[in-house]
Order: sequence, then structure tokens, then C-alpha cells
Amino acid sequence: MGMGSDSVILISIIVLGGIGLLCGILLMVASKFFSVAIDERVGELITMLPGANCGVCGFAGCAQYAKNLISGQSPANSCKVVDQEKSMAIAAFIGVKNEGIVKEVAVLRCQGGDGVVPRSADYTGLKTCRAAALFFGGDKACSYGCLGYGDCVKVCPFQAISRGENGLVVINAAKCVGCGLCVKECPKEMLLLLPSTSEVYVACLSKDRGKKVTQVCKKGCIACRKCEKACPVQAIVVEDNLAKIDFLKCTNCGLCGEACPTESIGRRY
Amino acid sequence: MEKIIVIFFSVVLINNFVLSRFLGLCPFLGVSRESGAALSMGLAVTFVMTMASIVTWFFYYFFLVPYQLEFLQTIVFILVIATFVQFVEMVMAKTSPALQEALGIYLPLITTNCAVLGVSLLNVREGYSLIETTVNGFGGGLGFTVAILLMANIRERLEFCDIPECMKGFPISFIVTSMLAFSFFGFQGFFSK
Repeated sequence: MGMGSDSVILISIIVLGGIGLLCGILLMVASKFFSVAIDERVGELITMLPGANCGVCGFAGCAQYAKNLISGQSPANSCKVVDQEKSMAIAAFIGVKNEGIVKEVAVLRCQGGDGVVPRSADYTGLKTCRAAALFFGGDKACSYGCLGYGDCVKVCPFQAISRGENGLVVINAAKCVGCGLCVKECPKEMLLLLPSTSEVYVACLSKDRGKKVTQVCKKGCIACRKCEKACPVQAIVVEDNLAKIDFLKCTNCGLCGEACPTESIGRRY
Repeated sequence: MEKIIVIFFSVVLINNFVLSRFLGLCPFLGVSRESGAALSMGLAVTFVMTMASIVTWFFYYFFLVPYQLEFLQTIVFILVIATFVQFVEMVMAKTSPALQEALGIYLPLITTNCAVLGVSLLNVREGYSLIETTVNGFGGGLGFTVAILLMANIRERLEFCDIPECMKGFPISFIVTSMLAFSFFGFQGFFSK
């Protein structure tokens, strides 16, 4: 190099400093010219939302939902994850009336775990319920029962579902927010969103006749109609060999559960 | 013309940035879970690599070479690329919110990515002209897109495979990457005489 080391250092500092300054000025000018007006309420609204990005509201995530709330393109009660109090606060924040939300909790409509319902086949395929269900409805002796490979476990964004020891899935009601993703995921439609005001539900989906049910499961609904007779408000009826509860009529008295000979009526606590 | 074609195919296939030079592995493994996101990432990388090549070429030959400051290339390139990406993001947010929604989250991720810096440094090391530089940058991004799309499709299929617990996720992804790299080594020596 033709220059002395002092001048090299000096030129380096000048050139690098100059480029840095140039870049800084460019960004400063750009941020003025290309600034986008962001509604401050969106940011505040995002902090009020759960941040789970589960997509139950129909938008890509909580941030998208917040934007659509502000622009009035979404009803204020689309989020099922927040509780009643938060939901009211959100509605008040954007200045609309809240129609209120009904909290729901998922329940599993099957008690046919290992030892209750035998496996009818030695299934070695993909370990997902969806794949197993494609082979003649799965490897359970009861073709209506929970397969237990845990498709719902994977889809739950709140880690509320786990695989139990008895080959069924277990729902942690304290963690469940009632988003309903598991309900859609299950190929057997095993899960039901129970309104949080209801406690009693029929924990069986088998529409087989009583004799066939008892052959494969000790805890299935055999359509004996004892619950029907026991119910003081006619909230439970047997249709297609399966008991059904009308949640609007049910008073959660639990007499049907006491009358059931196969303990196929569940109670959520 | 012939040289440009050679540069293009060599950077896409033979000297693929991810599979032969092992640059840009973090976005390659980070955003290859599903093919839709992988394609967006690939497009963002292609855009940034092309533009960064051009911008840094000008800075190199107009600011560094005249003052014999070539040794400052790495730090200057980082500065220039970071500024450029920030600038593009601002312009995008103002002019095209839809495009920003699609590519926006990927841009900050690749601001100082080694593949982007790598392509700029390789351009000046090889002494490419402006056109050759542009082709090299674009081809590099295209090669990245090809690699990340292949990877995303493989990983989507891996989801349904019975993989041992300890190999799930990144371990098996790295093994697959090495196999992909092996297959790309097959292109080695394509253009040698």
C-alpha cells in the first residue's frame, strides 16, 4: 500500500463512519416517509387476548383477531379461550355490546380402556387414530370406541389432553378452554363440547344393541332405558340404542348415573 | 453469455449454498416444517440475496476499492445488507401490506444470514461483473429455495413415519440434510473440462 498506516486507519474510520451515517440517515428518512399508522389499540388488545394463536376465532392468530376486532369485522365473542370477565373487558374496550360467551369443556364419550374393551387386532401401522380408523374402524373390539393413539393430544394447543395409562385419552378440565380443535380432529367423533353449566353426559357412543355391547364392553350403554325412567325432568331419552341427554333440560341431579347398570353415564367435576 | 449460464447452474446445483457450502442452515432447518412457509422463506431469501449482491457490489467497487479498503468488506457488507433489508421492510409495509404479510416475518430472520453475506463475499472474491453478480445472487437464492422445498416435502412425510423418540425433530432432519447433500454431490464436476 502506498499510504502510511496512520492514513489507512483514518480513511477506514472515515469511510466506515460515512457508510454508517449514510445508512442511518437513509433509514431515518425512510421511517418518516414510509411510516404506517398503526392503531395503538391493536397492541393493547393483543395483550388482553390469550396469545395461544389457536385459530378458533377463525383468524390466523391473536394478532389478526385483534386487528379484525378493531376494524369491526369480527364479533367480540369469537374468542372462546378468554373467560366471561375478559370477554366483557374486550367488548368494552372496543366499545361494542358483548353477547356473552358460553364456556364449554371437552369430554370423552368412551370408557372402554384396556381391560374393559379388548383389542380386536394387532395394529402395527401408523400410530395415529386417523390411520388406524381407516382399517375397518380401528383395532378396538367396539367399533365406536376411543382408539387412544392421541390425535387429539397432538392437536390441543393448551396441553389439556394426555394419553392415559388405560389406552384412552384423559382431558384435564382445568386446562381445557373449549376451543373444539380436538372435536374436529377425532375421526371417531369421540369428544363432545359440554357446556360448562352441564355436568352429566353419556360416556358411550355405541349404537349397537345391548347384547352386542355387553359382548365387547363392560361400560357401554346397553339401551336398557333405566336412566329414562329415573330422570325426573325427562332430559334423557334412548334413541338408536343410545342414551342422549338434553342439556337444556338436565338439572345435573345425577339420578340417571345411579340408575345405570353399566356406569356408562359420566360426570364431570 | 456462456459464463453466465455456467455461473447460474453451478450456484443452483453444484455449489448449492445449503447443500454444498453449508451456508444458511438456520433458516433451512427452522422454516422447513411445511412447504408453504418454506416457499415463502425461499422467495424472501432469493429476493434478499439478489438485491444484497447488487448493493454490496456497488459499495465494494465505489467505496472500498478506490481507497484500498477491501479488508473492510465483511463489516461493510453486514452494515449495508442490514440497512437494506430494514429499508425494504419499511417500503413493503407502506406500499404492499399483503406482500409484507407473506414475506414480512421472514425478512428480519435473514437480515444477517450467512448465505446472504456469503454470496456477497464470494461475488467480490471471484471478481464478478455486475451482471454476473446479479445472476450469482439470484441463482444462490433459487438454489436455496430448491433445497428448502425438497427438505420441507421430506419433513412433511417424516411426520407420518415411526421415528425413534430420540431422533424426532432436528436429529432426523440433520441426517436427511446430509443425505440430500450427498445426492447433490452427484452434480460435482459437471462443468469441468
